[in-house]
Amino acid sequence: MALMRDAPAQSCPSTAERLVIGGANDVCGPPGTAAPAFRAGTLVLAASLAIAVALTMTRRSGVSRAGLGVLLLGAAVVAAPGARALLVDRADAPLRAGATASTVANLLGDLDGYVSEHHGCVAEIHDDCLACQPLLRFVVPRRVACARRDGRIDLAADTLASALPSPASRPCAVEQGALECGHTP
Amino acid sequence: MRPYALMVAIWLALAPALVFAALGAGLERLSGLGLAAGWGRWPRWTACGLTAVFAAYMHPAIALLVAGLVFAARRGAGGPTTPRALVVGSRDTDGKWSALVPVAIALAAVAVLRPAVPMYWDTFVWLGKARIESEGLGALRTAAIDPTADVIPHGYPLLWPLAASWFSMFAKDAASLVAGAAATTLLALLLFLDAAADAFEGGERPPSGFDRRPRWALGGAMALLLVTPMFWVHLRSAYADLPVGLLAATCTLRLGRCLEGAEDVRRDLGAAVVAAMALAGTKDEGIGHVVAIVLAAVAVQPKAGRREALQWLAVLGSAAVVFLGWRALLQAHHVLNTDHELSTPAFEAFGSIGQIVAASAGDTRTWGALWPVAGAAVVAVLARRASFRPATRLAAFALLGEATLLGSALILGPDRVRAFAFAGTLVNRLLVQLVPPTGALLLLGLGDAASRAAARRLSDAQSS
Repeated sequence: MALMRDAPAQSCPSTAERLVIGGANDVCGPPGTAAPAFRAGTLVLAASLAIAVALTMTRRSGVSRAGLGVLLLGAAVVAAPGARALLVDRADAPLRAGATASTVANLLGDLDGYVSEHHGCVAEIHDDCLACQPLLRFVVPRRVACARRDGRIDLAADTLASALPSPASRPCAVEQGALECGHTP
Repeated sequence: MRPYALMVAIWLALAPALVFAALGAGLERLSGLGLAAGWGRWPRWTACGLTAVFAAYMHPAIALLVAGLVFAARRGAGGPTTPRALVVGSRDTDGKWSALVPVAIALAAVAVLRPAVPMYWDTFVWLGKARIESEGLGALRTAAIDPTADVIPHGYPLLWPLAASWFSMFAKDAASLVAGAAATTLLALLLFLDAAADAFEGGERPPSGFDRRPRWALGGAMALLLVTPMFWVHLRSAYADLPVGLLAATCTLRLGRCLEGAEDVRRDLGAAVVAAMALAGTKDEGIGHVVAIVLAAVAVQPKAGRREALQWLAVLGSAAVVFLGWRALLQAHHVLNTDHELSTPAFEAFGSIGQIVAASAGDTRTWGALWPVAGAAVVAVLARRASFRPATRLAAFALLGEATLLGSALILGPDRVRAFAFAGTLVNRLLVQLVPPTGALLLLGLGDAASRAAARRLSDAQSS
């Protein structure tokens, strides 16, 4: 699990790197990143909705279809900014998911291919890329007993940030037996 | 590398699911637990087969102990054996399911129509563990209890990565493992929808002052749950938190139906036992959910008889056997689950933890209005207990208990847990576990309110 997270000034995880690090922790950044007026407005609306739900559930006449419809409409209004983030802003939004997936898959493929060639027995991994940590864990999920270890993986800090979604792009290159990833000029 | 298709290969899971379902059906025949009824029998059988294989996978002794508890559950279920003709494919059950079919199809489509590659941090970690099992049946267990293998997170229960591996037919590639995880999430989702349909119907006949809960209330309450943005993020991830919540809600709804006096509770009890075992096998928090749910049942029916006590023992006991059995295995092999060990209570952090929980729950971009609404529903049910049926009261007590237990884990857990909470990576994920139990409460509570209104209209019409 990622112990670090995005700077509070940033909001939605709109790049592959930020999606990997914090995409499942919230929808659009930590609570403090929303504008105060927006937070206050939606919270007041949510509180009003909560009171309406409590009254609806406890009053003698119960709940009607129309009443439930109004509650649902209110809930949808409060959730609308989050829905927009899911559908538009995030890197896994429907129209952006393909490119993000290709970016991640390209890097994952390069790492996995190199580790497989070395039968999981890579001698050294130098990782400056926070977002690459979980990918490495997927590629090397456990320590294996090796007669001999060789090769090296070098992940620069910008590895995932500089990776491209193009199927032809290669985020990593093998140089002198080592897998070098990132290092944007 | 080719561009990724925006759909996971869910069909990979069909063959393993059929094998598990066949095993589950066989076990059901042997045990006498009535899991077979309507379309919901397929997820029930599959989950039964999966949890049985998992229990035996961990240790044969664990499987034997669970079998003993299932025997107790059978005694607890009591009642006459329902003729098979009345159980299999009963029109009533299929009718309830039909109300939820559009919801199930839509949710399954969203879960499946996504890139077949991991995209969030823990997804890689969970599927990495699942990948170990691709070396052969038992490989993950061997690695997980080997302290030198460095399988992280250390000592976590294994059902989640195992299910992803088994449903992907021991795949090694990321795309197939994502499909396996999606299939496991869908299984939990179907168990929840099945339980929701049954629980919404309630017992044999509604108590005085209530009519049947109308179907439109089921749809409306489900829609209230589905306008939660975070739900959709986790439905498309391979994190275990949403499935844990779905299983907890399933267990709550099934035990609630037992309390509402269904004549033959074998199906509910059997499904509750399966859900409880899966909960304990998926995450350590799972046993906390089961404890909270059973305590809630005791609170709703404090003067219960032997029959109810046996039911609760079966549910709690089967989860405890899985949880403690795994812990014993870890201890025997000197593997420490450092994330989930109890430590000196950090009472001084109470205020700051409360603040971060409140801030997270009040983040409307992530949660919409879910948590204020959930709080209002709990208060409404507890303040006007007589206005709600036993299953609804159970759902409210259970949600309160589960929230308390998860919150207390932040105080009683090691420093590392609080570090994650303050870094903003933990609290929302614990809240995800409470989303389906909140959905269970809303659908029962709003269903009760609607059924009271219907009963009142009927009464007015008769008197006039």
